[in-house]
Amino acid sequence: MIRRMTAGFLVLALALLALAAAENTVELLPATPPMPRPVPEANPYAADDLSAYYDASAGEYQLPALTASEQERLPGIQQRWEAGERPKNSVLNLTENVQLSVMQLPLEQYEGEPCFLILPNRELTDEELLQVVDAYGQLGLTLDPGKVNWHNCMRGGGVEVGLRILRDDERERYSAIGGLYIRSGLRPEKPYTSLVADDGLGRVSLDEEAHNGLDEYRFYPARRLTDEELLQLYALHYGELAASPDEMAAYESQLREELHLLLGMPLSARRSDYEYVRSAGEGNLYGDDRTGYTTVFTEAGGTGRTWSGMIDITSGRLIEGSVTLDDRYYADGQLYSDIRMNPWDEAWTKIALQTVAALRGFEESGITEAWCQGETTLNDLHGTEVRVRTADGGVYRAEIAFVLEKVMTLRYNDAVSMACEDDYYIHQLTIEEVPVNE
Amino acid sequence: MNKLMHHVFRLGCALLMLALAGPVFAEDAASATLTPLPLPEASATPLPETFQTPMPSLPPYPPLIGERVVVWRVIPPAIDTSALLEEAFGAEAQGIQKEEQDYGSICWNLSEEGLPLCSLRHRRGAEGIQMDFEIVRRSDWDGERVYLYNLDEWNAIPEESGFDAPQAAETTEEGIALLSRLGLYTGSTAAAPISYSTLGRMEGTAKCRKTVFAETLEGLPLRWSAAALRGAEEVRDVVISRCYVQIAFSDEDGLLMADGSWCGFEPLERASAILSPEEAAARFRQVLPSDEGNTLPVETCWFLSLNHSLEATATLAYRMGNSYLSAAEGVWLQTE
Repeated sequence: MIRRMTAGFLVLALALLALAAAENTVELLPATPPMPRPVPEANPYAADDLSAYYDASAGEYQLPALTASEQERLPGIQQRWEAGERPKNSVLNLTENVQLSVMQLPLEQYEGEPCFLILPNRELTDEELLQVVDAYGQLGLTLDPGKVNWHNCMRGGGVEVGLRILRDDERERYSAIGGLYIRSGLRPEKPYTSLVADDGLGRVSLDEEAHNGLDEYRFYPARRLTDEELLQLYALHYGELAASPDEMAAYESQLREELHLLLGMPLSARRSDYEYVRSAGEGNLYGDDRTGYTTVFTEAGGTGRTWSGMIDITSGRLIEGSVTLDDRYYADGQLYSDIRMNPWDEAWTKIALQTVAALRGFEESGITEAWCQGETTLNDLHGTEVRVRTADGGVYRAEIAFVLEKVMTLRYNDAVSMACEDDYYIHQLTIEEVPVNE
Repeated sequence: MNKLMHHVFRLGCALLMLALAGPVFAEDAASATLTPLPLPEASATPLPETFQTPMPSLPPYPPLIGERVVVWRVIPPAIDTSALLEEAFGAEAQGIQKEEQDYGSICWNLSEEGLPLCSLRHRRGAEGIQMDFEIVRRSDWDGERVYLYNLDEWNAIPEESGFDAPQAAETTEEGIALLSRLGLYTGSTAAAPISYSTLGRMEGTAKCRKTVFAETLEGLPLRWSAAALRGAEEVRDVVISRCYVQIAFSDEDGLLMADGSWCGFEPLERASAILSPEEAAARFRQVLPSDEGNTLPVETCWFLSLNHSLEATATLAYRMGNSYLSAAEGVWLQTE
């Protein structure tokens, strides 16, 4: 009897235990998922990371820092300033022909930096160190060498581009604004100022010798530049134009006609925003001093060919021009093998003549001779250059890539510009210019 | 009851076994002994020859009649160092100084002034693939200002260039003889002249003659892949040079300089059948759009490429433009 009761109690206990375990089972109640933690959006206009530019190859006087000697002397100079000594001249906000300057920055536009230190490519004298200390002092700051870095200092032309470059949207708007500046007479409401502190935008012209050839340093704030500011920049760079909007339109028409006749440009090609009136010899040493109008066109609704050209604004005739017929290699050179062939093979002449005849708006009888000029390279792709002379002395230069056996780029020079270029190459070196081996 | 169930169970198992193994055990149905299943008879037909052929492996593959090599392993060439030194310094030169440099490269010269000099160099990562060599006997800048030459192509004189030019044959033969003395002509490799130029168009430069040679393998040109040549991401640690040599002479001084890159080869794979050029051309036309130039000639060549282990091979291929098709397997090696 007792045995049966004990067994019964045991069973009951086990049953109760099971029930208790069941009741303690945790059930997940429905709940909203945790809110994602907000991630601060990166500022697309923040300063570029320039630290990569300052590698082991940078000289001591091009690193954004005080030298060991300057750091050693600095405490003494600081004490002298605190005792009331002042430099003969201030370097605060110097913007012209600068060797040494401390530029005040609106710190909300420069990621918390209150000033920017521009140092020359040599050791600072004690007087110059005092000038720097004084400039910082005028801003209510104390120079801490440990906090001087690429974000607030440039030395000896170490980096050319400033704290950041224009972003894509700014470049696109700059281009569009440039078009309005040239063709619509658009001008800024206020002129550009070199001082950074007034509006966050500024520039410093540099003593080139003190900055290893760098002539200018620009300040772009860590925010989107406005259209007005971009217009100020455009006006600063291009100044007063060499031609009125009506004259530019007339030049464009003349250039279109010449490129259509000589390089097969369709009438529907779109002009780029960049157009200039300048000396034909500007940017090269070929000695052509005619004044020309130049711009670039892109094919609309076609295969993306591009044309560039310059006309003589006096005669209206083409000085030089080119058409990129096939830019696959330029678009992505990594995809292309490279081979070399005989650049003097007459087969290339035939290809060049066919290409010129296909583009040229008048008869092939205008061509007087054609010859291979020799091996050339098209951005690391081997090829050959074939020249085709026309009755008026103009010369086409067809650049043929061996791997694709076709003309990639066709250039045109009138007789004068071709003679200038040839003259430059042929007479580039004279015996007097040969250096003596030491 | 239990005893009855037991007997029924045993009978059922026996019947089941008989049903499953009837055909085999037919003769032994009444017996309790199991006879193992017979093994299948050995095939009377021998395996095809290709299956008897072992997979290619190191060392070299055994030669078989009727097949040709379709893949070679690319290795550094064996350049005759004595010949190199003799070409640079002459047979009687004394006091040649040797300097060892990066990647197993070696440079020789006679004095600190530098010239004449010669060298055997490897580019980074290419020590097991190819070798650059150089002989420089005269510099373009001469300290006494009495001699100046310039080998840039834009200094070429078009009217005196091309293989029809007066001294082209003689200059080319001199170049071939030099390359032969250096040991670059082997059973499978040779040099094909691809261009001849007379230089001296620029005022103040001395006239000289230059031939460019391309290395060939079994008479066919070598074409490096774009990935290898351009240092694509996966092979960026290997710096590849195109397999060409340029050699320049002048009437006054003879050999001025010779420099270039060369490879050696050893057989790796063979095949008994390859695509014909016509079949290859048809494949190209199927794949390449007509406006991409699929009417270009089809070239038989060796396609040189790097594998994931950064070893180089040369594969028999057909080329049209920038696209390559393997001749043996008919697979695309590189496309536009």
